[in-house]
Amino acid sequence: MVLARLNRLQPVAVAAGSQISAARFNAAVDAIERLLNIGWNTRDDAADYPHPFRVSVSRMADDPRKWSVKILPGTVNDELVVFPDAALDRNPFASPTPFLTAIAPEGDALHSFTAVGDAQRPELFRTAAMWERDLFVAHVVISAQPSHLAFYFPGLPQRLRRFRYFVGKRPPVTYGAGSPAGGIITIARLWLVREKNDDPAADQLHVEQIVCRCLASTVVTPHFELPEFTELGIGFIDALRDIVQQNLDNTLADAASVEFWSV
Amino acid sequence: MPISLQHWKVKAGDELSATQFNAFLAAVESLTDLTGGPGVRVAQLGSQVCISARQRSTAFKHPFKVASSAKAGGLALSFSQGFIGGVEPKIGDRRISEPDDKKKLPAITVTSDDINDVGLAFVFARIAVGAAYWQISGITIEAQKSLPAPAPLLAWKLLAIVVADKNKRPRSVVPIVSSNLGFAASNRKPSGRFRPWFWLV
Repeated sequence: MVLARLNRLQPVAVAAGSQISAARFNAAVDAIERLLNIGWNTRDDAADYPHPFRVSVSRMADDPRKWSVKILPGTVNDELVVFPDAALDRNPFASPTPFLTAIAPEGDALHSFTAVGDAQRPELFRTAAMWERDLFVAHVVISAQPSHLAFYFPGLPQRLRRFRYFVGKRPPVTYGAGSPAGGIITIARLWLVREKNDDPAADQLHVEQIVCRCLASTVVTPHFELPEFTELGIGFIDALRDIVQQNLDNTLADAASVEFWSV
Repeated sequence: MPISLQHWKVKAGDELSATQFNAFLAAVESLTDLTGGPGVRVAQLGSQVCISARQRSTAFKHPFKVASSAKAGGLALSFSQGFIGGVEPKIGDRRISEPDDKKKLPAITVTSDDINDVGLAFVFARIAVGAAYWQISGITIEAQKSLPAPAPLLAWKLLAIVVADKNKRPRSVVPIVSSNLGFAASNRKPSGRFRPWFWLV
């Protein structure tokens, strides 16, 4: 399998009896020089490892501003993370393979992306060539809905449910347990590099993978248990204690957070 | 046998003939006719030629690495050695890394009966917990159609997902766990209910 035919020197050849010009001789020298300049490197197979939540992107054929974002299957709390759909969430094994759509900026409309300021640029995008280009970022996140928060019982660990993918601007990271967002974790960042000519067909999209293992998650809620007074036979103090406990729990619930870890 | 180009050499003052020069070009051209192949990529970047080769990978036999083989009626899954809370799961009466007389690891067979409505089966570690000290008393591996309902003194940890074709025949397996796991039981109730916790170790 020929992957590269690097040099064609026949045009440099000379007819019998003719002079060998400096240009032709120099062309041969250049070819030899290229041979001396062969660089070798090795590629690691790690990039090929199909780990959970592996994100890959490809440009959609119908619109150069649209990118399909595919994600290999992964779980949170042993539940498959699903792709949101208007009618019914789709599991990652559905056919055709579900994907998210990231839409590149268009004029003032940033769509799925956020402009990255110069000070926020990662090192990779601080080369001389990159400073000449605009940089945008989108986040691929898993979001969760807290379960039965309306009937929140302090002291019992909260459950999260309906883990779903989302691509776009980064949602709020910290939240109280009462937040409708529930909880999020960023599994990858998509960095979009745009030429100054604003041609979306020339955009490059780089994937920065952050999470590569299945996850567990829980709501962490501070809780302080007031002492019981029942054994003292003073019931009105118990009633007072319950009111104080309820208020304390409500206050502490606002300081709750959702934590994720690998399993 | 090494290629000799000595006969191309000229003496000082000799005329360089077109034949000699053209043969020289042809030789250089043949040298630059680089080919890639499986795992080897050749690319030209300006005047730089870059050949990259895939590094020989080491097969990392991580904990709970799942191997599958087609078996009559289903897919047989075996696992490399792995621990949950320091306990190695069993398939049947053997530990998952305990070979038989024929040096075969124990395997669990996932059949079309285990496949759910969306074409998946879930392979779980079924973790039995002793009531006295809330420690693991034994782990077995089972295929289920979905996450089993909570039960007293029992916890489940998903290890792999089996994907079936349209005819509900198990076809491939997706690994979920690739490390040993820690285990703890919290919120212990007199009824035997508790909340299981898992983490990488």
